[in-house]
Amino acid sequence: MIEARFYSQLYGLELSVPPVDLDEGVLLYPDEQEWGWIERADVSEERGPAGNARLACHRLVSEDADYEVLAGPVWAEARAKAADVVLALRLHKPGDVRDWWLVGSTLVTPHDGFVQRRVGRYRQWEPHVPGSRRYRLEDADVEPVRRLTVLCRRYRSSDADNFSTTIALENFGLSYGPWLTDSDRLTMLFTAVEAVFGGFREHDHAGVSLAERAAIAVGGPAGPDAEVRLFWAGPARSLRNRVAHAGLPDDEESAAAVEAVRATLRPALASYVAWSLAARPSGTTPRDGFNAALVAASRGDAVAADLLW
Amino acid sequence: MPGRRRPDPRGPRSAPADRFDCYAHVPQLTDDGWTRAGFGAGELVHLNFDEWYRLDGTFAFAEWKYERNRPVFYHQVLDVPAWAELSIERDLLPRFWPAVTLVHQALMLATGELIPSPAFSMSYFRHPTEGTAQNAGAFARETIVSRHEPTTVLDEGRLATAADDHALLASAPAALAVPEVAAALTALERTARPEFRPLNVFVHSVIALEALAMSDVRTDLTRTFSRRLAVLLAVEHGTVEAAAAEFQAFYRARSRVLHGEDLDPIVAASGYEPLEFLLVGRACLCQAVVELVRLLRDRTVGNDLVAIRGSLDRAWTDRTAFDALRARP
Repeated sequence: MIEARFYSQLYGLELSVPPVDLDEGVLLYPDEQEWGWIERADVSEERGPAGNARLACHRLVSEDADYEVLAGPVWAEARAKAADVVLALRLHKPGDVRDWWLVGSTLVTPHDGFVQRRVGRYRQWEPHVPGSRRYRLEDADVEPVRRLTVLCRRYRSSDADNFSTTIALENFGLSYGPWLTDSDRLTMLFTAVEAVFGGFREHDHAGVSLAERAAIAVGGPAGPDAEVRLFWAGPARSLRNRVAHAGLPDDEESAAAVEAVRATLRPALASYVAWSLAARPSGTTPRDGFNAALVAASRGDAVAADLLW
Repeated sequence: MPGRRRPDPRGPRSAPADRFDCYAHVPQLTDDGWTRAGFGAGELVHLNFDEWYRLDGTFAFAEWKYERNRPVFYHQVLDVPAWAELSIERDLLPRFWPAVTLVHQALMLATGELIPSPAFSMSYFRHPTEGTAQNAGAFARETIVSRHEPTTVLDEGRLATAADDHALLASAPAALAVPEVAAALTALERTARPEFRPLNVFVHSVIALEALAMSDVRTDLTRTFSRRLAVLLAVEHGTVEAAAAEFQAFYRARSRVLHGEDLDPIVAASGYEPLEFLLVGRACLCQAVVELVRLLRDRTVGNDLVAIRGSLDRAWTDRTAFDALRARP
């Protein structure tokens, strides 16, 4: 058997107690030998004094008798698992963690030192995320991130995926992308919101507003979140109009708006993914079925609540 | 009393200037054999490997890959006042980059294709005696040396269309500042990036089309969307109903995606292949931007989007109003 290691670079991630063992794979700061595999020396040198220090990776170890299999489907699955981890981290809490596929991924077979690198399109992206925006993974975060990682992997590998959930997840993730204005990020986030809840003007079949359903999704079993209800009933709508009419310059207000919309999407998306995996509604679209489940759960339907949370 | 000074026969005296050849690589764009074409205030040019190597000597052994990729650059000569402390960021980029942005927008609009912004690749500033400065975007030289899909082939027909679109954009700065038009151009740039998948490109394109066509309406959305855009893009009045049916399909497809339903019934009825259907949505956005910029610039049917939308509504049934939209001053 050949042992292979797969490294996916997740810049912006700060680990309080590395390595962090997730469901499959480990989050860690690679050692010097490992960096020798992950990056070409000249790329590391270009980074200057900061070098590779405190740049985190997802590492997965796998075995197969056939190198072609390792470099083909096994590596593809390793990259997909790293993407699951990034999505789980973002669904858990704020912080700027970057996708491996924008930066790079590496396959190593340590017994012979053979290295194969898959360069990300944005590999020249400054890897050292400013301190205030870094994603700090504390001990208390590990278990929920592990659960979310499993949830994301189950969704990816199931036949429960549907366009609405997938487009919502994709736009939520793209809002973390490089060289975007806050208006760009909000455009993506409002697309995700529409895929989860529908438009601002739409009510669900029970006549419940977007603001109320957003409050239910964020509040969870504890009951609708009043602040979220207020945000979606007023400021969010005017925010969306300002974005559509190019009237939102990048400043503290716009950055706060990005985080406010993400704060609603995090629990809503996790619930939508869980519901998509558990429910098989007939006679309704996935989005309508999910929103009906939200409303039912808020009215005491334990079966609906169980599918969501 | 002294008489009026006679004009200098050599023309106005100018301060000493530094002349720079500025180049910006356009990622994922290639020519089909032409090497130079005038474009705006500069030219589009395929530099051969030796010419590129004189600008950027990083890859000495990449000639085969480079020539297979046949990268295209926008080249413009800029004169700046000569002084010792000249800075690329301060003295060249503020003049060169708006020109590059306009070229990129024209190329996207003319082709409808996914062409990432030149800001992600390399740009070069060559001085005749002082050497060449570089400005590296996030892709660095990746899309210069290696071919990445999709790569757009700019044949002579599309090149001519792009030059026309560039002239239109350059002549209509007020139209480009209309928020819905600016948002559509931003959407085209954003969705041309490699991280956008075709389904998401489609969704964002239809959302931008909605903003262009009907940010003023609250009811009867599908009908308003399809009729206004059909009138805007139909070649003759006799084809508006067929065009409206196509836009109706796009709008319903957007709705089905966001509801989580599959697109098979709509795509099958459209006659397009699935990927083609998604990318036609982007091509329609490009055409809609061009037509609206033209109408805003020429003011043939009004000064703003509200007036133009009113004309589009009238032209659905009124052939004279339709012909007024097509009139060129």
